[in-house]
Amino acid sequence: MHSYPYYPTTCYDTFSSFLSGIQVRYKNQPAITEYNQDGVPHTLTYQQIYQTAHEFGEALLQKGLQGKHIAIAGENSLEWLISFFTVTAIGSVAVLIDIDQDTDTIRKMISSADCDFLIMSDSVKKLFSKDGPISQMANVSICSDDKKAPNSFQNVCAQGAQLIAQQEKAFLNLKTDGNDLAVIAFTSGTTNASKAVMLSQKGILINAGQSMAMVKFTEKVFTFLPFFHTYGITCCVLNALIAGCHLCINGNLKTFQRDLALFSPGTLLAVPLVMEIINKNLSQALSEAGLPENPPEKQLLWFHRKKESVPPEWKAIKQKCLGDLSLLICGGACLAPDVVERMHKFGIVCLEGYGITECSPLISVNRNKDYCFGSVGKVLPCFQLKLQEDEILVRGDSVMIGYYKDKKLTDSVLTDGWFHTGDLGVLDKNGFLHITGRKKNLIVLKNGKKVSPEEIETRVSQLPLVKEVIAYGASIGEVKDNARLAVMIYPDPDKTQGMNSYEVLNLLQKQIDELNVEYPSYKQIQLVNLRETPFEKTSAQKIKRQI
Amino acid sequence: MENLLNTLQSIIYEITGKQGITYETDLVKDLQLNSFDLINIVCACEKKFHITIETREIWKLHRIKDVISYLQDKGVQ
Repeated sequence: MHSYPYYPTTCYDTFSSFLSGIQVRYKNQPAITEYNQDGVPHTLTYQQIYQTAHEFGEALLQKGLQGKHIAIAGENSLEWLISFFTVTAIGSVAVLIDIDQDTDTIRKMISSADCDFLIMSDSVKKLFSKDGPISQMANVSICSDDKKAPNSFQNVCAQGAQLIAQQEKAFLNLKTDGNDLAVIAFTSGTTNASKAVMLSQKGILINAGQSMAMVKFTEKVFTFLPFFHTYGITCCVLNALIAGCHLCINGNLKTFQRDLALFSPGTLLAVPLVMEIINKNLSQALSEAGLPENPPEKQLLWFHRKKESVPPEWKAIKQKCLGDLSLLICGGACLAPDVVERMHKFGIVCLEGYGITECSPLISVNRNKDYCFGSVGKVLPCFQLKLQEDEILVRGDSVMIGYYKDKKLTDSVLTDGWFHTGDLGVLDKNGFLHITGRKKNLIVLKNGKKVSPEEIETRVSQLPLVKEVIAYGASIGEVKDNARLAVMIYPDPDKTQGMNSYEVLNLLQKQIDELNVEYPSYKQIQLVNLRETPFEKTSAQKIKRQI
Repeated sequence: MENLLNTLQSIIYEITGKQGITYETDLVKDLQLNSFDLINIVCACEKKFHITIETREIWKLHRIKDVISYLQDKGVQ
């Protein structure tokens, strides 16, 4: 392993130059495919993406939406992506709504980002039909499924096409600036509220472009990671399109495995949980075929350099479980080293990366021919990186503008352009970054989701029996991110007088079960523990987190 | 209701190999299922009972008894 030159790439300054650039470059090549419920593919070429965004853009501009904050709420779809490309290309701000959150959090996201307009999928529309606040706020809803609705995605595009036919050129004549705010994305905060991160046009596009200088994708790329997270949009979509790849998108766990088999990509962008599923399927198939877990010790290069010597039964299993996969990119949480090593034995290179929403998001990634297992790779050229008391600090164009309407919070993490990631790390002698811990208290789960313990603690501390509580990730494996969400409670002695521990635990468990109903599965408390003494406190009377 | 429990027991066994499931069994806490296991169970239920279960509904189904009452609400006997 040794360093080698960056792959050629393009770093666009603005989303309008990105859209026209990829169109000119890749024209009628397939750009994005999605499969419908019945497994029928729908593919747009680079030319069609530009054309649809142009039509949609003319219509949005005519509605006076330039420069406005536009929320995009929906599961992964072609319409979601065209909406994103268009909103950013017309110089408006795309507010990315995490639809996995509970209703109240979604409502807060939309109102805290001052959204003027909402583009949503039918599933989200249904979710809010009774509550009302979103439909009252939005001037229009664009529903991908309901073609008959006047404001359906198709109808708005048709309005735009009509404007183009009438020689309307507002979209073509637009001028946007790379430093303009392009995206507001939400990330787990240390309080109840998610932090609204402001990212610039240039920041996101440089990050996407430079990720392609580090890693070379195969021609066919597959992702199911949600686009409302920057990992999904920057590191799976924008970069793949900059490189001219054919991207297959999926946003539904129900059809993920089916679509993966139908599309048979060479590159898969994933989180550790997906890698584990693939690994498990592989083990099962090998065991059913009566084969050992791994290729024989002396044949470790079978799937790398000696493909012709691989026995047919092994080839068949690999084809069945892994298809044409040769590259797996993983981020969001720590990856189990044994999975990486095993995949490698089957000819698949697993590259781990590291990013944070505030950095648009990618900070470092391993490279196709320059990687180190257990590290998160080398730092992207757009960043300067330094370590301050082991904390990773980065500076560069992709660092956020700040938190929306929260100068105090922004100032707490940005000093002279240096962003304090809150993650601890070391750089080894070969320049690979290793994450060693976290300064902040986030619980990271292997599906890449982050949970703020403070948010859970606020929720639980409202229960009458609870005097003090801390939330933590209870480890269930050797990898540090393989955790279950747990709480340790010191019950209020006054309110639990006369009750034994069993009764207290039973009652608390029941109340926590009721709380859980309100929250998405990854925020549900899975383990409740009691303690008999108050927690140790700091001088500021804060609970010390060590359990 | 018992019929549904039996059917769910066999679906879960087929997908995860887990046994000893009762009305009170919690899918995540007791069976340690991940999101893909849950989705596979949901897909099997959809196929078996000819219904559609919205993805957002899935995380409201904690215990087997919740799944059964959800299925009954959908008209499954």
